[in-house]
This record gives sequence, structure tokens and C-alpha cells, in this order.
Amino acid sequence: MRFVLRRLGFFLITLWAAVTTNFLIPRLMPGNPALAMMARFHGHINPSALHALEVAFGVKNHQSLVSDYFSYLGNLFRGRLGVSITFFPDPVTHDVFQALPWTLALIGSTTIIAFLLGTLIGLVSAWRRGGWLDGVLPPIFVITSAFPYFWLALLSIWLFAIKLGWLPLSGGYDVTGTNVSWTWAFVGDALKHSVLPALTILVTSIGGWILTMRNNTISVLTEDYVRMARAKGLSPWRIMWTYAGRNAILPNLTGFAMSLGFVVSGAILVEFVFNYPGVGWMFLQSVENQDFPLMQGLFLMIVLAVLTAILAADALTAILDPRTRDVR
Amino acid sequence: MSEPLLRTEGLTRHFRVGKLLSRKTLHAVDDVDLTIGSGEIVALVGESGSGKSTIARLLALVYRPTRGEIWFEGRPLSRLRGRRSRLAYSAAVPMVFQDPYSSINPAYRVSHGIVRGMKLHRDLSRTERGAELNRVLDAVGLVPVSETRRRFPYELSGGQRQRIGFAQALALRPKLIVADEPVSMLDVSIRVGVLNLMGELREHEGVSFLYITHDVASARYLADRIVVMYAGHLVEEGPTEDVLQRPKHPYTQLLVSAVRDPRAELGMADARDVGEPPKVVDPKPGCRFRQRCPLAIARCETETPVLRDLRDGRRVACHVAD
Amino acid sequence: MSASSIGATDQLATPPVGPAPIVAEIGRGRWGDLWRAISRNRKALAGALLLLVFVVLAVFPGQIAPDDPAAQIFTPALAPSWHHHLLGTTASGQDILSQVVWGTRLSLVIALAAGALATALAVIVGVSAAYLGGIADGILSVITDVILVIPIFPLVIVIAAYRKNAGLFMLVIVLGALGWSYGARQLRSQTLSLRTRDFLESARVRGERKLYIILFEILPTMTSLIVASFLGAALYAVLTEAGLQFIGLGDPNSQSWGTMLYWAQNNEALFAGMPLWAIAPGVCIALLGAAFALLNYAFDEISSPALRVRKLDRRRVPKRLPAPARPEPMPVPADGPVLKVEGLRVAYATDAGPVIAVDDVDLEVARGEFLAIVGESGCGKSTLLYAIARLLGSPLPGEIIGGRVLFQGKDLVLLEERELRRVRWRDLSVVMQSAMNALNPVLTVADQMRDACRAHSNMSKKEIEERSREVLRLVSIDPVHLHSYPHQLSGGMRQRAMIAMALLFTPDLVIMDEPTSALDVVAQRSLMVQIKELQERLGFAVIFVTHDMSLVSHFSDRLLVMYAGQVAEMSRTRELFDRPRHPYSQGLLEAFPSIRGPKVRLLGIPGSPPDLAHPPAGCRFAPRCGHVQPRCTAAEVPLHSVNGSLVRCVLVENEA
Repeated sequence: MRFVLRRLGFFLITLWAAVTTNFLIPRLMPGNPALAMMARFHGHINPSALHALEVAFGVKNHQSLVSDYFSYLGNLFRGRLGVSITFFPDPVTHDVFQALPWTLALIGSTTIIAFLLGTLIGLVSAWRRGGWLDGVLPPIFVITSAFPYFWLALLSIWLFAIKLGWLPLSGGYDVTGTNVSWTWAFVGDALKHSVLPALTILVTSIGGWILTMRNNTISVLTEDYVRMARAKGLSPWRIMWTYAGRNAILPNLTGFAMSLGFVVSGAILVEFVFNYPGVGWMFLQSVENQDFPLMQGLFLMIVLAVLTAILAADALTAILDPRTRDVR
Repeated sequence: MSEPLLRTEGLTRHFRVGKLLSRKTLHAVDDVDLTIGSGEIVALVGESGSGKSTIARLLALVYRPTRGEIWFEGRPLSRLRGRRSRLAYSAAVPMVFQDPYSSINPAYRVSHGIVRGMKLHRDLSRTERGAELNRVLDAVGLVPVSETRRRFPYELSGGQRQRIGFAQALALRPKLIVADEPVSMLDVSIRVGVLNLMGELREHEGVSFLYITHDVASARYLADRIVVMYAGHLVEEGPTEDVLQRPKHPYTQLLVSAVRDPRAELGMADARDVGEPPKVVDPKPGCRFRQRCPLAIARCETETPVLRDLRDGRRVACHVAD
Repeated sequence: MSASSIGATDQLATPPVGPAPIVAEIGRGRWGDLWRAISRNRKALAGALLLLVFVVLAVFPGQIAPDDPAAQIFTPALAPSWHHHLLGTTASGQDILSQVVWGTRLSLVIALAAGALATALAVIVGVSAAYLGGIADGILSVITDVILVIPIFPLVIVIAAYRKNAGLFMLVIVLGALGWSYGARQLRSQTLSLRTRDFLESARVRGERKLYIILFEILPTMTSLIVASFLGAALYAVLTEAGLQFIGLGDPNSQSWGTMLYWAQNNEALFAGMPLWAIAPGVCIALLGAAFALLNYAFDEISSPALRVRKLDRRRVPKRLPAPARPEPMPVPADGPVLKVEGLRVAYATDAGPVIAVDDVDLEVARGEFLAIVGESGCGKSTLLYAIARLLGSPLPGEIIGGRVLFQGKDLVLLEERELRRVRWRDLSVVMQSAMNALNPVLTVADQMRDACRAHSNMSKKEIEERSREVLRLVSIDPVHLHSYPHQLSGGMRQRAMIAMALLFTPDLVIMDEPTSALDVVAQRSLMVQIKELQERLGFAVIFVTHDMSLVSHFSDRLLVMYAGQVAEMSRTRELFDRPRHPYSQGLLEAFPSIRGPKVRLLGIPGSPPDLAHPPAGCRFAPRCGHVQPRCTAAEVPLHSVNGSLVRCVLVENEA
């Protein structure tokens, strides 16, 4: 399992890079926003809140950058990310974990569905080269993969919510009617609210998966072992799945990992447009309110989510590809 | 006895293999003493893992020897300092590669490599370079020259590309050309032409060749002397005809018997052998051929045979051979 | 963004073995070639055209837009131009169309600038990392991967949050400085696969400096990849800028499509009955993005020829003249041949028109017979083999356009895939050239054998395992390797495992395509002996394709020499070696230096095989033949039967 260990190491390095970036950016910007913000709030909020802010920024009594850094790291380890200004006096972690389920439910599941569906369509379309599927889909998806996520979101709102009135405009649930609880009414309502955002993400991101899988499959189909499988008289199904598919999906998994960042970016905007109470939306809110502790906490959460997904994809690759287990 | 053109002594090259923390070493080449004279063609024969390609790269300065020394025209290569002297050596000892389909940059015309070589190593004016380009293309038989020099690699056949490789080497006015399996990727009917070319270049331009190959029959056709390698060791050496008609080392015997001669009867005796040359990682002392050798004795297990001189300029590294 | 995926992954490309067929070049890199490739590709043309439209809009906004985009005009009647207010106005009465037109410039500039910066960095990092190798590569790769993984957009938002109104210049810098990682990874991959290409080593040995090699030897071969990378980065920049503007983190006073969207959103354009305000700029972004994406996608196709489909135009295939009377076939044993091929013709499509790779080939294989098919590259022997096995199609180009392949009383050419499957492996199996490529890398040997067994029989799991062990033992492989993956076996073992697999059902006919060419001399010989032994023991017939005549000299019963898609000579092996009749066979035999016997100067065969897109009239070997006569090129030369051999040469007419 050396492969997984190596990826874990990479996970930690990237996390460290993100954390350090979080730490450094406010300090590197002209005007040192961290200190400026500290100064701004000094006297306006009570000492414990101020302390919490200091924790979030690692600013302690104007000590050296290095010791600030280490105390920042220390606090991070203990899960102390500071206090949110917008949702004062909630600690940042609380807000983050409140938004997280919404995002996981929406973006997490949609991305996975888009990946699986896209991979499947790509595989089939490459398998039936020259068929209608292959002739029609790639050009369409080449174009749709270039659409800005948020624009598609706007369009779908305009079409389905305003013009046709089929689906709700915004939000994760109907704030006027129901309360957040595990009742059927609530779940149903939440689902209704998630249809448009989910569709937007699905339509825009699936194009990329379809195209990469299609190209990979076409390459794999030119390999000798596929011809050998035909020579052995295996059923087309078996060839498509186990010979072509299993080999073609490997670079796609890598591709999944690499473009996850892009998908997340789009998802943030989609949440924004729909006022969907997920991590992305909260992230943008915090930016608008200059709620830096919350913003940083959410940024870290985003990075962590991406990294975890990548690690999962890597683990899957290790399972599917025996060559990685024997890495020389 | 004049100083040979090129001489190696105890030439050794090891590679570190395995993961970051492992200390395993691959012994690609161990303790090779090789000589090549002026105007001589020496064939270096071996199968995969024999180390022949590594020798080529050691001579071409791609690798530095782990141990041992290479003398060129009496001067040791390890003392080569500075870009100038290294360039001078590269011009004197260029290399021709095995794969004609990947040894020329597909993005440029075929004249590119030849002209670059001249720019780097020789002091010629532009017109002189043009003339020299024509001369070497002619010398390798790529006529009409005016046509050839404008071509892109994809417009030439494998044999023609390989000739370009020789032209590139010739343009440097070499003394010794290291040819690493120059014909093994060519069609059979084309190979002879390229082998003949090498012979001609030796006649007309006075160039020596180190002809590296796994094909014993072509070695016999072209070379004056033959050197046989197995698993990084030099196991036999001598005049080509002598070695091939009366091989002394068991591996040479196996190799020779495996060569197909349509006109001869099939030697069934050694057909049993299903072994393959070993990967030599952290080897213990002893002969590396012992697993497959029909003549192995106890001593072969523990003591690495050293190359010893026999009569008639023959050398063998074997405890049993006489 | 992941519309781009070149076949080059992180795996190193293995160099071809044996005389290489037309291999896909990495990219000739010449601008002329690039231009030609673009003009032939519909997607590229569409994308380029679209891009051109935008470029024109960006360069001449004043001439095209009806109004000053900032001007607030409330009374349309005052406007002079016809396309005034075509798209309506914003909440403050500004002409949307004008804004869209003027917005092109900024969006395009940002896209191209950020794209250029990102690509430059990608090239520097990616290529250097791969070329320098070692620690430098390790460090650069880690940096690349880290930046790749950290989502750029949130990071840019964070930066923008701390520094409001940083301006678009800052944006370009940041996007360029962060967006290079994807391209760097791809370029590194490609450069790594280039490292096995000898022309780089050749340059190094020649004494070129590292920098020269990177700039002038490596980069020119990767032009399409670099352009694709640029397009991807530009696309990303367009979308990111728009996104940033949209959420208000850009410069609201600038004139770009993203800004329009921002103001549209702010003014609730969708609800206020001004949908075009939001839709128009979005469409433009989408179209510009589509232009980049189309070009990007087209470049993928250009650099991987495998992605292009070519249809064979049968109308352009020259018709066969009525065949001259077929000669008396060679005597075959009483119970009939196991395979009989009649008049087989195979063609495939090339840019130069259809090429007939196999032209009217007849052959017969008796039960238990070993037939060798010998020829050089381009002669059609592999195409013939795979045509017989009905395995043509990607990547081996070709369609059977005529003839019959009679096997077990049925014409394989006419059978449907489903019916063919019943014949495959049970009665007719195939051994390919390179086991490393022919075995599925993600399945064990046992799995692959089980696949074959399950497809054609009802054997139980235990029976399958037992049979698999049995065939491995047949080829002297310890059955313990049954559960190994292909990459865990040595080259010779892999090859023998493939042969074992072919014998699972002891078929009547085994077709072998140069199965020994990847092996060393000694291993080749022992494998041949093993194949011959198995053949004699189990009684299957073999068709063995090779470029090396001497390899089969002691093993084959009959030998078929192919040249330029036709049968040149076919006779008993011994007869061919002792008395070759066709000048090409004579030339071939003389091209083998012998290991015993006198040393003579050999000549080989001057010239090259003909271009099959335009085959010469008459005898195809005539241009290279030492005995050529006028009647050789006058008409097609038929096969003549001489003493039990078939020879396609005018010189034997007297003997026949």
C-alpha cells in the first residue's frame, strides 16, 4: 500500500500548503488586513470575541510572524478556528458544520452522479464509434462544458422558476413554511429546492467527464488486449466493461481528481445564485461581510473536501489498477 | 604494438534501483576490458541485460563509469575537463541509435541534425557546411542529395533514416562510431545494405566501429573481432571467425547454436534451455551463467571467473573452458 | 475544463519492437502541418471562425456597436443607427448590444493574457521537470500537484477579499500564476514519454546544451499540446473572470461581460423583465468559451490520430480484372484443408485514397500443417492474418472487400459477429506479437483464461482452474504464476502464457503474429521448438507470420512469401530455401548472413517496396528486380505452378 501512503503524504503536504496560504495571505496584502481588522474591532466587541479572532488569525500580542504561525497551527489542531463575525457569537466550526451537510448533499452527490453518468455515456459513445451517440454528443458537450455555471443557473431560474413556475426560486428550503427537521415534509421540500441547482451542476460538469472518458476509451480500444479479447470471442459486454472500461477509467479517475477544483468553483457560484445555504454560499457571504475568520474556515473546509475526494479517487485507482500496488 | 584507438579497463557501471530507501544496486556492466583499434570493426554481442547498451552509453559519455577507466587515443576520459574537450571527444566518438523511427527529430528536416553537429564541432562557413552536408549524404548513399536534404523524416523509409543517422555521425569526422543495434529494427533486405555501408565507411573514411548487436550472424559478416557479453560480464573475445567456429565459453556455444542457419540442420541438443539472462541485482560472486551452464562445477558457484588470455588472441572468462 | 485528454498519461511509452508500422508521430510540430490539420477538421474550423468573430469585435468595437456603452439614452428615437437597442437597454438605459460588443475587448484580453502567462509557466515547469528529472522533478511535481489540487477560484476570492479593487491586471497575474498546473502536468507527461525517444539522446550525445534541447528539440514536437494548453487556460480565465465579476469581486467599473452580469444581477434583471441583460453577456461568454473548447478538442484529435475516424470509400477501390485461370492448387492431404482462403482482398482508407493491402491472396492450410507467411514491413502479412481471423478494425485499419475464407465449411467473411464468436478460440485462436500489450494489465492470467473458458464452454470453476494449470504446464510455466498479473512475469514467460492461453481448447488452427520478435535469440529458438513440439503433440495447424525467414526455416512445412500485398511465392520450405524461384525470395535469402559456410559479400535488395496507394502496373517487384524484362510491366503477372510451388514471376513460365 505504498501508493496510498504516498498519496496520504501528498494530502498532508497540500493541506499544510493551504493552511499556510490562509495564514500568509492576509499578512502579505498591503495594509495588513488582519491587524487592521483587529484594530477595527478593538473596543467594539468583548474580549473573549476578540480573543477568538486572534486565535483565528494567530495574532497574539503582535509577536513575531513565526510564533504567530505556530500558535495558529496549534489552534488549528485543536479545532479552534475562531468566531464568526456574521453569526456572532457562533464559533466558526459550528457554522461550517451547519453548512456542510447542504453542500455535501447537493454538490457531493451531484458530482458523483455526473462523474458516473458521464463516464458511462463516454464509454458507450466511444464503444459505438460512428453511431449517432458519438456524432451528436461530443460537439454538444464540448460547448456546454464551456458554459459558466452561474449563467446556466440564472437561465434555469428564469426558465423554470419565473416563467414556468415549476420549481422554487432560491434557498435550500422554504424558510417561511417549514423548520429544519427530519420530517418528510422538510426533506421533500429540500429536495424540490435542490433540483435546479443540481441540474445546473450536472449539465455543466458532465460534459467534461463524457469527453475525457470517450477519448480514453478510444485510446484503449486501439490496444492489443482489446483485439485479443475480440479474438477470444468474449461477449461485447465483457469486452466493453472489463477490458476497455476498466482500463479507460483509470486516467479518468486521475482527471476527476484534477478537475475537482474546477467543479467546486462552479458549485460555489451556483449556491450563490440560488441562495442555497451551503458552504459556498456561506463562503461568499463571509467575503461580502468581511468576516475573515469564517471565510478562512470555509476555505479550509473546501480544500479539505477536495483533498478527501482526491484521496478516495486514488484509493479507487489503487484497487482497480494492480500496477500501482507494485510501484517500483 | 601501437596504442589502440580506444581502450577500457575495468569498466563498471552500477545503477541504484528500488525505492527511495533501498540500497539495491543493479550491476549493468562489471569489469569490462575492451580494445578497439584504428580502422577496426569490433562486434559487441549479447542478449538483453548483457550490458551492451550500457557500454555504448558509457562510451558516449551519457553515463559516467562507477569504476574503471576509458582511454581514448591514450588519454583517459576521466581527465576530460571543460566543454571543449568533451565536445572534441563527442565528435570523435559519435553514436548511431537503434530505432530509426525515433532517432531523428520529426519536427525538422533531416538535414537539421547533420548541420547542428557541424555547427557544434567544426569550424566551417555556411557554404562549407552545405558542401559537407552533400558529401556525407552522398557517402551514405542517399542520392540524389538535393532531394534528400529537403525531406522530413516521415518521408523516408527506415533504412534511409538509419543512413541519416550515419550521415550525422560522419559529419563530425569521427574516428570511432558506436553503432547500437543499428539494423535490428530494419527489414531484413535492408539490413545488409546498411551493414555494407558500415564496411564501406571503414574502407573509405577510415572509421572504426563498435557494432553492438544481438545478431551473431551479422557480427560475423561485418566484424574483425567479436566480444561476447553476458549479464554485465565480458565472457569471450577474439577474432570473429575463430570465436564463432570454435566457441570456448558455454554461453557463446549456446548463442552460436541458437543462430538460425537455414542451410544447416537444427541443433536440438540445446533446445531444452528455457532460461533467460538474469537481472543482476546485488550479485554474489560466482559465474553469472552457472544456472544455465551444462559444464558448471563447484568453483563456478563461488568464484567469479576472470578474463584470461588463451592462445591466438582469444580471451575467455570461464573456469572450465581451456 | 477537462475537455482535453491526450493519450499520454503518466505511463512511459514503450518503444516499438520490430520494423515499425506507420506510428502516430507525437506531432510534427510544423506550423504548416498544423494549419493543414486545422483546415481539415470541422470542429477546429468552427471554433476558429467563432474566435475570429470575437477578435473582430474586440478590435473594432467602435465601428460595430451602435452606441457608447456608457451613454444612457432613454429615447430610442434620438438614435441614428438601425441596430440600436436591438437587445434592449439596461436599467439605466444603456444599450445592451453596445455593452456586449465593447465588453468583448476586455474579456478577450484577459483570456489571452492570462492564458499566455499560464502556458508560459506550464511549459517552463512541465518540460524542465521532466527533462531534469531527479530531485528537481520531484520538487516541481509536488508544487504542481499542490497548486493543481487547491481550488483556484476560492483562493482567488480570498485574495480578492483582502484586497478589494485590486484591478484586473492583478487578476490576470493571479490567474496566470495559479492556472499553469494542469498544463504543466500534461507537458511533463508528454516530455517524459519523449525521453525514450532517441532523438533527444542523439542531441545530448551530440553535445547540445540542456537549454537548447529543451527549447529546440523538445518544444517543437509539442506545439499542438502547447496550443491546447493555452486554449484551456484561456477558457479558464474567461470563466473565472466572469465569475469574479459576477459576485462583485472584480472591478464593477470595468467594461466586461462579467461586469454586465454583475449589474444585471444587482438590478434583478430577470425579474424586472430585462432578461436579455443577463442572457446576452452570458451567451457571449458561452460562445467564446465554446470557441476555445472546440479548438482545444480539435487539437486533441489532431495530436492523437487514433481519435480520427476514416471511412473507406469503396467506390474508389479499383475493380479487380477477371482473374487469369487459377493454377492447379498444391496437393493437400485427403481429409481436406482446415483453412482455405480464396481471392482475399483487404483495403483501407488513407488520406491519399484507398490502399489495397492484401490483393487477391489464395492459400490453404492442411490439418496439422505449419504454414509460415514471410514478408517485410508493408507487405500485408499482418493484415492478411487479421483478415483471416476477422479481427480487422481499429487500430488495424482495413475492411475485407472481396474473397472467401473457408473454415470448417463456413465462409468466415460472411459470418456475423455472433456466429464468429462461436468459432473463436474453440477452433481458431490467435497469438499476438507482444504479450505485454496483448494481455489485459488489470486482470490476472487466471482471470483471462477464465474469460475465454466461460465464453465458450460450461466448465465449472474447478475445471477451468485445472485446465488453466494444465496449459501452463504445457509451456513449462509453473502454475503458481496463474494468479500473477502480466507485468509481474518476465518477457519470455508472458509470451509462453499467451501461447498456453491459445491452446485452452486445443483449436484446429492457431494463428501467430510474430510471437517471438520481442524475445532474445536463445529464447526465440527455444520457444519455436516448444511451439513445434506442441503442434506435433496436439495436432493443430499453425499460420505463423514473421519478417524473419530463417526463424521458421526448420519448423514450417510450407512457406508463403508476400510482397506488396500479393503472394510472390509459395512452396515447401525446404524447396524454397534450396531453390527460390521468385527474384524477391532469392534476394531475401541472400540477405541473411550465414554463420557457417563461406563469407561472401551480400547485396540485399536495393530500393523500397512500392507505395500501395499507387501500385505500379504489372509486376510489383519489377522496379527492384535484377532480372526485369519488358513483359514484366506490361500486364499483371499471375501465379504459375512449378513443381509443386506457386510463383508469381514471368521467368518461370517455361517451367510451369
